Amino acid sequence: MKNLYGILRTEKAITKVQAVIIAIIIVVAAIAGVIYYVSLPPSRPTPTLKEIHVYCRASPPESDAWTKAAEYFNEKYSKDMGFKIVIDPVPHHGYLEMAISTLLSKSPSFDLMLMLNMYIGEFAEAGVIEPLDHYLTNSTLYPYDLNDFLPASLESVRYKGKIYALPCTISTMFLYYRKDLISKPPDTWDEYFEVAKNFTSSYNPNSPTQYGTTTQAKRGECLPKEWYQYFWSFGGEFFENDWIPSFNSSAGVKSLEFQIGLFKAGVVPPDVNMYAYSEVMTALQGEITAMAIQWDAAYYYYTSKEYSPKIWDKVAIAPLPGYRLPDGTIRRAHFVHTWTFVLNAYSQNKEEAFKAMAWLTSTEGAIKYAAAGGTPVPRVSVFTAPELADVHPEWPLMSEVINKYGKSEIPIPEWATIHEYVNIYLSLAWAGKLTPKDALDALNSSVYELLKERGYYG
Amino acid sequence: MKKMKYLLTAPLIALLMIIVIYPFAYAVYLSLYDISIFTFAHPKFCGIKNYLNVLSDPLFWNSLKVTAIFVFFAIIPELLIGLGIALLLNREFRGKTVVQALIIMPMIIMPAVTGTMFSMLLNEVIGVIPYYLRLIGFSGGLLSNPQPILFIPSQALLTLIAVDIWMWTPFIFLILHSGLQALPKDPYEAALIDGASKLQIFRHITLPLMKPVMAVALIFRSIELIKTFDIIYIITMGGPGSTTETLSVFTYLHCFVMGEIGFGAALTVIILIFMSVVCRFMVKYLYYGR
Repeated sequence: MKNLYGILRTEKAITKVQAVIIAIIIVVAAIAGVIYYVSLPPSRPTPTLKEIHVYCRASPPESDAWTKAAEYFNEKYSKDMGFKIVIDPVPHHGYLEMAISTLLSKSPSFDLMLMLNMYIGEFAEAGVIEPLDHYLTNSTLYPYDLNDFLPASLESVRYKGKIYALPCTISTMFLYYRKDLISKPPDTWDEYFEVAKNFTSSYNPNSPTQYGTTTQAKRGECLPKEWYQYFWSFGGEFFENDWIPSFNSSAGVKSLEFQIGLFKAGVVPPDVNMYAYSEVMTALQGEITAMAIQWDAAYYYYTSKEYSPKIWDKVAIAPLPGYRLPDGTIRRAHFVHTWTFVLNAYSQNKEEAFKAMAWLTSTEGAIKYAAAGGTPVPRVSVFTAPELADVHPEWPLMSEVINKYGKSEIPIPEWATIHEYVNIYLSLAWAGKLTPKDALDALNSSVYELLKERGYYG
Repeated sequence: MKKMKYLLTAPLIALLMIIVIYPFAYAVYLSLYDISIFTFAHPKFCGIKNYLNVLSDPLFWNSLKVTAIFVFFAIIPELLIGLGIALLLNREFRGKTVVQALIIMPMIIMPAVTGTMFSMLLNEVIGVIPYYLRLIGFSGGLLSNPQPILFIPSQALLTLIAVDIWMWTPFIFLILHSGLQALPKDPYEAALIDGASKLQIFRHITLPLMKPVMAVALIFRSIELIKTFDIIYIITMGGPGSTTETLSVFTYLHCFVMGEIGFGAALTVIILIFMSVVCRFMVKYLYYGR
């Protein structure tokens, strides 16, 4: 302290020491303030009713439409039920990361979360989402009709025989085509290829479109999901008995060769390996292609005069083409995935949360969601609801293709990793770095090693 | 006096412990366990197995190669163009502040917005950039062509490098421009009196005096380039194939998509060691010049 006083006596030293101290105080105070603010629990006004918080993806239509449904519930039922539903939108990009970190942190800050069915296995195995069977069988809690659900959707929420989620929307893909140009949509992949050639200007200079069709070949969520439809329709299955992978079966190789063959033949845009949902949307909207294999959610935008002024009244939908079998029948396959509500295993309001998810996925809740622009809750009563017939004219076909041809991924904990392996090797095949056979051989080998490491083969 | 020194630095050290040391220590801990999303509650100790898995994964080495190429081929043009613009603007003229504001605009756009914007601009069928390139005879495939060009694994990577140069050259310009403004005037006056040409002045006075500033710019940009994730993920997601899969994209996919937390933690430790070596080398040889 003596020495410090000596230093402080000189003018220059006073300035230096003071500057250092002030700087440190300011920095520490600022950072301490930030840390304190961040560590505060979410500031919510003290509710008069219990609040059930639902983390929901903030992309149209999910959070907007669920918010409208929740508002209806809060107005009509919240007093009797003793709780209200609060939809908390989470940004679309980064939703998965949020889901992982929030669930693994065992945070009680939310009660329900929107989750894609392919992740149910791993979060169920982690013990962070609640199995629902004992809630469903307790009729005093909320009488709930599971029989109204499409079977494919219920299978997608089971893990080791237990139900871990309630399906809240179901998605599949259609063949969208220009009905003013194509009088009869193709039934088989061979017909699909011929129609595509007819509407590609390099084959047919009189074609009104530049390319016949398009596909989602960009590395990402949708590349594998679109390919599965070719894969299954050609006769492929993910696994043989005892979990032996069979992605590289002859059916698998043929399906990938066919899909990549569309690119080699030039009937799809040249940069199709950079095409995902938005680019496929633009290709048909901009009259660049005459057909597109695209998600059901695009129907609203394709048939809207505001969003698709060039083609809104010229688009129709059909089941995806399939593979003609020797007996003449056509084997089709439609990929189906289900968005679901899961119940946080660390929620402090589990019974109320179950009632909330039960209402949201009930026929009444589903109709309110759909009327606000939402995609279908996979209930027969929703698909056939007369009040939604005009709002969603595509739903009868959607229900039909899901029932007849719907197939889904396998809800094992390793599926997210397997999905990424499929992504990587399909992308390498699309880039020409590997032949379809080599790519699927490598994929098969990777999946086998993964499952072996996880103890699937004893 | 000694006690005062420790007392004054204690808050900062405590902060560093919380936001740097603890997360790193936790990452090292996770890297020693076979831990994924579904084994998070009951991980198994596996020693260095995750590190061996990373080092034996051919896609890891591919991502390291892609990252090195991305950094090298982006930093050199950014430095040269940034220096050129800084030299051009190292004088007073009317409208200089407006020109400077326009130059730094690419840098202030959010990377996610830039990525989305270039995804549309580079679309082969509807994009503006391929349209004009086709007019001058370019065949196309800015993002989709997986064929290598010289040392660059694919045209897509070259396009991403160009996007990064567009975005971050203004950052280099800002640093170098500030450096030029701070240079002493006396050596220049002496050189002019001695009859030195502009090239000689640039080569023998400006460049040596600017070396520490350029080193700082290089170090900062190199670190940021290694970390680049947003524009790559939005525009190509690491494709076509794995030709644009950098270390950051590779790490993200393993941690957050595949849920391989132990593998991802080992990857981050390896990347940290790699970046520490690179930074040490750059500081030693570029900044201190020895």
